[in-house]
Amino acid sequence: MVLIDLKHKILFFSILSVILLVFTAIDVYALSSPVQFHYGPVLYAEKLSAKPTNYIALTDPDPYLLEALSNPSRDVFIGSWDNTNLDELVETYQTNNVEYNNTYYTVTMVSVDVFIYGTFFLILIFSWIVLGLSFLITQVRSPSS
Amino acid sequence: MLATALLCFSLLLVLLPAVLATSSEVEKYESLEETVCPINPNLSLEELLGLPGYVTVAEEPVEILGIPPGPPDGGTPMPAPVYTMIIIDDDAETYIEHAMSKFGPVDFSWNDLCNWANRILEDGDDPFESLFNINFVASQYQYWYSPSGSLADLLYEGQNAFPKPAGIDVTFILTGQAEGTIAGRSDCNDAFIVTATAAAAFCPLVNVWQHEASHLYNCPDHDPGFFTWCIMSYTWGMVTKNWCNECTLQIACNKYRFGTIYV
Repeated sequence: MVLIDLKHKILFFSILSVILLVFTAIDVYALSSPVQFHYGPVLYAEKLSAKPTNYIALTDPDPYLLEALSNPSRDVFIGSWDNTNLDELVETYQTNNVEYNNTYYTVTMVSVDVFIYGTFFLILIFSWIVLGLSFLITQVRSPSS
Repeated sequence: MLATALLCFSLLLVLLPAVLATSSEVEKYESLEETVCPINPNLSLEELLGLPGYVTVAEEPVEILGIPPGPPDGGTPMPAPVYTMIIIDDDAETYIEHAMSKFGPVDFSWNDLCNWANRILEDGDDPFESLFNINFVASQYQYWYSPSGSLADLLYEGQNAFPKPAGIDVTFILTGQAEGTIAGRSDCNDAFIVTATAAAAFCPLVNVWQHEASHLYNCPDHDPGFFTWCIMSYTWGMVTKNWCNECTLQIACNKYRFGTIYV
């Protein structure tokens, strides 16, 4: 009888652990992959109707900048500021306006912030602690121990 | 055995960032001699020493956003107050009234709304004040009947609807509209938007505000930031108001970007 109880207990805690592990893995993946989950640093291009006074003439934009210019008024998630050289260009030329293929844009570097995955992470840590403590308590109380 | 392993795993996750944050304390002070903001003439070693143990050699090169003017003779430079225009939209009013209606009928007056937004700003700028003497001051309030749209649209259209007048440094938009799981958005220059709906997902608005305001001083996001006990970490940003070494140095070197006063 005690053996059956122990088996049930282990099965119960194992299932809970696996479920928590799956959620933890998903959450860690979400926290580690801002581009896939659409948050973090963003390039945002807007088409300009008129030629601005100051602009940067782009000949060979980096892939993310090119994507932003190809998709004006849409967020292009780049994962890290290191993935683009726009910040260096802006600093050098002191303007956000660019010209590419005879079209003028203003490109801004934006940060889109999502904290829900961090909140889930805290909830998961709490759940792991509760699970561990519950298992510990049931082991201590168990007559077999 | 399993329980012990689970407990160890959990405690490790909880304690590791805090342990890492304090373990390099000695190194921080040892490396202070080498800590310099290469361009900023206003930052003295004494000033850096005044920071509570955060400053160390930055692993990443620090980017100075603006070179402040040199101090006149006899004056001690201080960051000027950051004059902020707060734009509160009609959805923010609806949101707060709905949230507060659980406790009885509510009708928020314009003053109540301003006080609410100002409290977020004032609580959010406390760490800026205590560490860097950066004081955000709400100097103008605007009520905005905002159109429906993404936070990107709202940030852009809000600035178009209420262009920053002379004397205002920063635009802070408080909206009640939600866009998925996004809590805030900053243009990393002089404007940011915070959605009040983030509070429903257990994100303190004060922390979101501090995170977005830190972007104005060139602090980068830390994703995932598992081991970075910093407001800019997507993992711990909701439970801490600290900045990591890198962000502390970024703000210290850029703290005069909205002006300098001499006392």
